[in-house]
Amino acid sequence: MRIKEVLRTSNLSWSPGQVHPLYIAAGTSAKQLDASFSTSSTLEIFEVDTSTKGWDMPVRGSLTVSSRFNVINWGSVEREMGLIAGGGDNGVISLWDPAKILSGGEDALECELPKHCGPVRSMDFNPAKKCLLASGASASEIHIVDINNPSVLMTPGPKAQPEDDVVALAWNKQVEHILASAHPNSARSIVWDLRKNEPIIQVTDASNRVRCSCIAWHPDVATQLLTCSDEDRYPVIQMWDLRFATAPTMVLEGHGRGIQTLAWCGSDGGMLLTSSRDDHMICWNPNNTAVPGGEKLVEFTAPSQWTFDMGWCTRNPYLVASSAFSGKLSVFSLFGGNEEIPEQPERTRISSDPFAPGPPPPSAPMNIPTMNQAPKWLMKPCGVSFGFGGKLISFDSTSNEITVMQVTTETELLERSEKLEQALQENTLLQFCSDKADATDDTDDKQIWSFLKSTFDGKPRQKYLELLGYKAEDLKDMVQNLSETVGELTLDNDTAIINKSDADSSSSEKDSDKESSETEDEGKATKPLVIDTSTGVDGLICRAMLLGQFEVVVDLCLKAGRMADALAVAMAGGRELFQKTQQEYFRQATSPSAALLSCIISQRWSNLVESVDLSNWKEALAILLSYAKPTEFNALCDTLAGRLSGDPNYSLEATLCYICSGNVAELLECWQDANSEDSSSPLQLQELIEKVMCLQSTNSTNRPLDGDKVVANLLKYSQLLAEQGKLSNALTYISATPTDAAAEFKYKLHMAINDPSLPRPPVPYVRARLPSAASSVTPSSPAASTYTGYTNSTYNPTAYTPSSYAPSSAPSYAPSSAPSYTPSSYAPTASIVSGTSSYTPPAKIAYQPPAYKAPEPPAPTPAPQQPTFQPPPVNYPPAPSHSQPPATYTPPAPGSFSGSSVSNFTPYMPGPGAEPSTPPAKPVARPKGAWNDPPMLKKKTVTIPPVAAQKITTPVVGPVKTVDLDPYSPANYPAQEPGFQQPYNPNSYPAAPAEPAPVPAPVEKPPVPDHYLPMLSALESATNDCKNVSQNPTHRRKLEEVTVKLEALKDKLRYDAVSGTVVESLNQIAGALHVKDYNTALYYHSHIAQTANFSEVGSFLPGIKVLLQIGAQLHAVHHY
Amino acid sequence: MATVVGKVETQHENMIHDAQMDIYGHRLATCSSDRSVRIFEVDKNQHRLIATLIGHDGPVWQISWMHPMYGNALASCSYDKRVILWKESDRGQWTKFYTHEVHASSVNSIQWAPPDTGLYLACGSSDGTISILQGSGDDKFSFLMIQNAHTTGVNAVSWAPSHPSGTTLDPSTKDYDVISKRFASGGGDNLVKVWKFSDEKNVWEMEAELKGHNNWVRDVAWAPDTGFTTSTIASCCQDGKVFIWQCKDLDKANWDIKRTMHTFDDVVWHLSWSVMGDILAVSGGDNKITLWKESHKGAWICISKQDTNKTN
Repeated sequence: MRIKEVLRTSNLSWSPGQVHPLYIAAGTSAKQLDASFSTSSTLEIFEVDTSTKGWDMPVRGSLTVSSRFNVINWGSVEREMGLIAGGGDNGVISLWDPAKILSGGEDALECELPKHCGPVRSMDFNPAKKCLLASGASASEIHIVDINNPSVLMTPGPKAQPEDDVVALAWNKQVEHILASAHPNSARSIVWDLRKNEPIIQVTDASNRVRCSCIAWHPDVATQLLTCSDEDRYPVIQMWDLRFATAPTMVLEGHGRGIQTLAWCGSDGGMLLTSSRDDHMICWNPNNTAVPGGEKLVEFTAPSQWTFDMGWCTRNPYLVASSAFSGKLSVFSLFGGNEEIPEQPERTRISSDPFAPGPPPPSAPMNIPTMNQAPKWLMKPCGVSFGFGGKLISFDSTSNEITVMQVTTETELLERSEKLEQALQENTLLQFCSDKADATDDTDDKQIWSFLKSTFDGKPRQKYLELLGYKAEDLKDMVQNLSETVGELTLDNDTAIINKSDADSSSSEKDSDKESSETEDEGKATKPLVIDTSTGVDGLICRAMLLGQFEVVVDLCLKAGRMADALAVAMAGGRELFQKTQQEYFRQATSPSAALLSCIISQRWSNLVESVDLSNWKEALAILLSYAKPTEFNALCDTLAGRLSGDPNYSLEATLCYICSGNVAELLECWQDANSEDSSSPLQLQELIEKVMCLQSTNSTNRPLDGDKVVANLLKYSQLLAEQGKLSNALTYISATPTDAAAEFKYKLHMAINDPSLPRPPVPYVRARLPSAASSVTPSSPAASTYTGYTNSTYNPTAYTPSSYAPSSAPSYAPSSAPSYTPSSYAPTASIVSGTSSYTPPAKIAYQPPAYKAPEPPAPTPAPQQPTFQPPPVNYPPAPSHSQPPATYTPPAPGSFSGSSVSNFTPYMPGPGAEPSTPPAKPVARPKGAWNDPPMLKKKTVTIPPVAAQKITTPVVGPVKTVDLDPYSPANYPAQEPGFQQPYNPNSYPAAPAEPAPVPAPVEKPPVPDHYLPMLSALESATNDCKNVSQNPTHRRKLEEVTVKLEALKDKLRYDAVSGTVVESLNQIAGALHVKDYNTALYYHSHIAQTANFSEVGSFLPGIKVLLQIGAQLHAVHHY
Repeated sequence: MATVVGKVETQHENMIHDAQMDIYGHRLATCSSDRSVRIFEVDKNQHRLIATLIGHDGPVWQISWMHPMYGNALASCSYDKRVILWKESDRGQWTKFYTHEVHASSVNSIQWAPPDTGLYLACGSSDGTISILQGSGDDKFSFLMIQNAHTTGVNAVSWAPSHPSGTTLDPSTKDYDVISKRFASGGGDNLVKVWKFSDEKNVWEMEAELKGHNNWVRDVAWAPDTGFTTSTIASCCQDGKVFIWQCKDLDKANWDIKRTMHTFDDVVWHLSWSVMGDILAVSGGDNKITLWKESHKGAWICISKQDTNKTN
């Protein structure tokens, strides 16, 4: 493609590589006169701006010089713009500073070199020693000048004889002291060694006397030299290798007439452009010796006739400049482009000379073909490219292989990740947390890990309390100590510690003693009952009592300051009266513990968490841990944590609270805020994920791994693992997030893992149609914003199914080794023996609520569900208005309190291993012998804990309507009346309701759909088989657990809350169990573990694993 | 740190110029001076040639996979001035489905925009222009042209992440409406340029010109979103220098941070960021692959160096 053209007959030279923008220096040629016969000479600098349209090249500097030129050479010479050397027809070489020419300065001439005897015919700057300029003239004269010291003239050696013109000179491109000169008349070229200062070899064609017009060294090969024949009869280019200089190694044949000039591309030695007098140009690949006559890359008609000078641009090797005797200086490219001929080529030569010729004929369209061979500078010889999963592929020119590498940068992270993965898989997170807590030196971290560890304990709340410093055993000791010092006194006086109002009335004590004698232990119960009906306070009280006028009694007691009596009577007088009395009591009470008690009884936990002094966070948390309902606990705990996290001094405390509430999302917020400066490092992320995964895996939370921060961090972690090549692990973590934001990444992981056995998730994008045709060739309508199909569709949460949000159901909360408990099997008679002095429910009942399905939008709030079991029978003597309790229980008539019934206020004493946590401490006024005296108080062995933490069971037994057997199960908690609060105590059996609500009928669980039954029965029978075979108690205990987990699975299946892929795998497991193929079964188990949501399968999957492991073990040993 | 896990014998009869894995790492496409594109199925230790795409009349410089939502499809660009789009039919046959032939010279670099940005293919040519092929809603391709993008030829193009930096990782901050339609280019004018699509004018406008290289810019690579708000472009040069350019606020286009990552002894030909944007792989004329990572102090550290074809 012709790019530029101006009307000049000039010798030319491109600006050297360091000069920007591109220039061409052009000096009027001495070889030709134009039609004006002008002999004036100018040196001009044209700017070659390929970015502008049109062929014009602006002249950026111009000088009128004395002599016309035979040769122009712009050398790079250690200065910014280099130097322009002009070899004049008068034998003078002048050096100009191009910077000064460009700025229009007059003093652009740097110097003139010593004069040659004839016209300067050739020049070349040494490519290595850039200040060395060789020049040749007639009579074999060769000068070498250091332009920094122009007065010193050097020669390469003695003048060649016979004397001849030196039409061409060329420095070797590799060896700086080698120079070649061309001598046409003697048909030879001479190679000079400047070190020896003599010619070292003559190159001459013995068979053909060839006049040489130009000469050039190979850009890359030091020993190769080419010469061009000026002879019309033998227009060839001869390639010589000086190692075999007797004959040319190759002859390039193709020109029709003598070759005038050449340009060898410095950027690609495989491109040699020659121009001959027949106006043809040929670009050769002189390196291809296989083609006889030389490989022509491209042959075309020269831009203008009689090209005599040519240059290949160093800076932009796409460009070649040529100058022709036809009067045109052209810039063109051999690498394509559409030539657009300007409509009216501008004449750049403006002359006022009246003899100036008319405008030259318009340039004819010229077709310079594109070279088929791509230039070397476009040939990327090597490359590297990252792929998904830390894959790095690379190649280079040494082979045609692609190397695939795996890049791993985070070795420590991978090790730690491996450990976590193992703990998650093997369910050894307790140990994991324990190890982490032991390993860390950071006290904060230690505490966090200890709390996390506790979440894996069967009774996390109790453990939390212990971690907070409230340990029931310690308390026992403390009370013991206290009893030893003050206990004697207390009991001797038989005075309630806290009821100060008691002190003044000794007579009333006696009375109450009498009255309550019935309620006392047998040893004391033999005292005859005397009823005082006098008109004194006691008498009136008795009278009122005889009439059942409890309100009057209470009133009298209050007036008499007999608080304990008042409260005791009020209890019998119904809920309203009791509450009123209670309030009165708190109004009067002044001790700090009473304030706490008031708070606890009034159950205003939200007030507590919102108003408690932050320094008392521990106590506030302890209260919540002890009393708050599971349904409310998390929210309350979050509120407390939220307050704590607002204060930078309490960030650790906030973290701990979030651990208790299992709030992964907030925990992350809080944790990252506190560690903002370094949470970005992979190891910090690892630490974070370890905590998150531990917390998430605990059985005290059913929150899905949701929340922006959580998802962002899991995504980041997953990406990090993926980039280290751990694709399966990455999938595990990202699968834990329910959000659809990572759907694409999840899919990508699935695809990258490419395991056909894994279920393929739905494609997270909509298959798009490929455009087919061009809408128009020219730039078109704004299509930029019209293409939106992908953007909108990608994030449609198609991959998300609501069922995956279903929080895991109760089994994860079920205490271990609990027998499975179904509503229908529970009846009051089964667990409550009416009239016995101590109620013992079955140890650790695990209640399995039906699994519930989350509502369609991802709101994990369970729908309120009616309790599916009957509350335990009322053991509290009901007020007359009480509705009928269950038939198995016969309530005593008012007033006829039997000793046995009193014991129903006694909190349930826990089973083995549980702390004696529930003596009714700090009782309300306890008149001696009062009817409701807890019998144990009479026994010296029973202690009275003075602390409020766990003793309030009795006073709070107020308006209980429903009772939960498993306080952990959120589903068991129907929406209850506001203000109701059940004290939390994992071991205490909730006290009886004072006013039993109509017993709700147990809600029937829907049946398990039939198509699940084969799978379920396979699992169940496998469990039973194991139970039958194994004598190992550990096994048996574990198998009980399995049964519980299978119940959980059943519950999920009832509501179709298990995704199809998981069911599919479960079926596979069932099938494998049938044939006792435990390996296959375990494979599908781990498949579920890797692919399914934690929240979906967490409730039953561990059970299946235990079953499979035990089964495999037994199978191996017993071959059952 | 980089372990050789496999070799793919490409059977190309001439120099290989590009090799790209598809998004899932299942398939490898290579292109060569032998004018062909080859597609291999790569699975762990095995590989299998599944197609040889013949159609170009010159060396094929680069390939770019389309997003899988379009099926198995890729674009290739060649010295023959053409960009060819290929797709695999349901029967596993690969065919040309579109030829983009608007450049006057060799098309040296192509890249599909991230899927969220839209269906755009940037093509940089030796003719100094960049064409942006775009799929419009009506199943048609159209294109916009940037004239004189780099006057002495465009050597490389690289798209910006589809969303403003720092937002793609954190779903809470990801604003799906804010799409950054930008790419960087590098060329023979020693410049790196940043281009942005102007919706109002329906043209691609130069947003920034990054000056500093003293020779041809051989490759540019816009880093994926690393979660930070800073945008990063790496560029490498004929003279062996690799620069890291950073911009704190893309809308202000103040690419005022320029750091020399390293100066190599040879031409640096190719750069590639890891998927997470934390590692830069550099391929140089000395046939060595080096991996670079930014330290906490902001210095770039070489974390791995090896010969391309040496197994370790």
